[in-house]
Amino acid sequence: MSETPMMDELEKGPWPSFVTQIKRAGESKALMAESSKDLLRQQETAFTEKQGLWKHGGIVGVKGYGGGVIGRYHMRPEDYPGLEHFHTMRINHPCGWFYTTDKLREVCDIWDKHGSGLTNFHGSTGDIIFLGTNTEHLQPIADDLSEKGWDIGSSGSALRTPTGCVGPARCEYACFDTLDFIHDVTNTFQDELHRPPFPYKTKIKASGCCNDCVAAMGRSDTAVIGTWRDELRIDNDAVKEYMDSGMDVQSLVVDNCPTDAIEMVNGKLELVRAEDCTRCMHCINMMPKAVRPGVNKGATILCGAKAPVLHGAVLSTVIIPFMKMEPPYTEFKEYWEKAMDWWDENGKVRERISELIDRVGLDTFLKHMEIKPVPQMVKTPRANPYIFWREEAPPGLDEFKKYIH
Amino acid sequence: MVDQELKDKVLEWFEKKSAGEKTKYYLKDVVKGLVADYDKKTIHKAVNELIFEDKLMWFSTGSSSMVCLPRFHKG
Repeated sequence: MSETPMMDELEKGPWPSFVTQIKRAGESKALMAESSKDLLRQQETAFTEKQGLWKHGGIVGVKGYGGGVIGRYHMRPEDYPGLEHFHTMRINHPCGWFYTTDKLREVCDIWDKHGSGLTNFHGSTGDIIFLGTNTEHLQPIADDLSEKGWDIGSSGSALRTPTGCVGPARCEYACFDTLDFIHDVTNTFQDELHRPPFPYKTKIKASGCCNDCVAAMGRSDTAVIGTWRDELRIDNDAVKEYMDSGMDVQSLVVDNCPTDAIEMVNGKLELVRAEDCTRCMHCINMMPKAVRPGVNKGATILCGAKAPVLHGAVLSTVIIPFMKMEPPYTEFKEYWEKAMDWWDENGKVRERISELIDRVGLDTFLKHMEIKPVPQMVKTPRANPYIFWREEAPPGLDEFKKYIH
Repeated sequence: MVDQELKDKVLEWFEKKSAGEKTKYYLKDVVKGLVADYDKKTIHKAVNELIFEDKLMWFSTGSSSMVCLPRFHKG
């Protein structure tokens, strides 16, 4: 009988199995022969005992780097000697996750030489994840990667590896060059990435349009979302083609506009209330040949999203409704450094910027940033008013307060 | 390069603070201890230089980072 019956169950079915992959790694790599068996045995034990058996944290192990390596130690090394150290490494991914096969082979060869060969393409932050190596291999991996132009990713109380969508490389909706932006920001903030200076982690993610394919608005402290300042561009000849092909533009597009900004007028699609368009992207997504973003493009800067396991997701708040996004992105960099300075100064240890804003109020943050409140900052009308009365409040406040119950 | 005097003060701070049970400190704690005489960025720089010189070490839980004297690092 197999030593790992529950793990063997996970090999059944038509889908890929990590159990099969671990067994395969054990057969093909001498370094993994013992570790692969121990990995499956320890997982079987964890399932049986209903508890994880890993201790994590401690080592960083690469000279000059404060992150990028997540130490993994087994709680029972005497029972699982192949897993005494089984560290994880994060490797900074190329922008948009575009690789040539040569570069992919290169990174896999380095990992095969020094580690388990098990990878995760990609972790949720976007990095390439190397799963399982010994302490003595950490520095050689970093050296080999560095020689070939790769760099380690980030972990700990640092700026985590910035990530963006595929942007203009594959998508006509992109309102700015997310690839160039992420590359630039990654290079500019190397210190913040590799030498953790903050109270806790912080993330920058960029999406080229409001479809937000990297979910920046839901999981990054600083979300940069492409948008446009002028009006949607509508090509009514193309709209007609959609209608002629049988598409019910009225019910599928116009009736689903959340702010009734578009209407069919005499058989033509028109943006009748341009100021009400919320850039939801629905009409563009439904009829990409007929409706396009405007020409005055840039990005909205949002702050404060996070997706923690215990406390539930927090969506970000608009801070700057429109910012031009052109190299060298000076305005964005100045904004980010100022926001991080405020957070670093006032944040408690392990407190994300959104938690700090919740604690002291958006008003305090805006005051520090010298940004005026605007309606776009309201997340939930009535529930989170963004105007706060101060001592030097306008005349008539006392009279006004009499009518508030 | 940060002046040696500050680096000595940082090391002294770590030696003093690590005499008790707690041996690993957030960068923020170090800044708090020395900010009266130096600005935050210079203190960060001094800590990083000491790490390069192997006189201090990073300690990471994976989610947050701390700094300690090498003898307290159980890597």
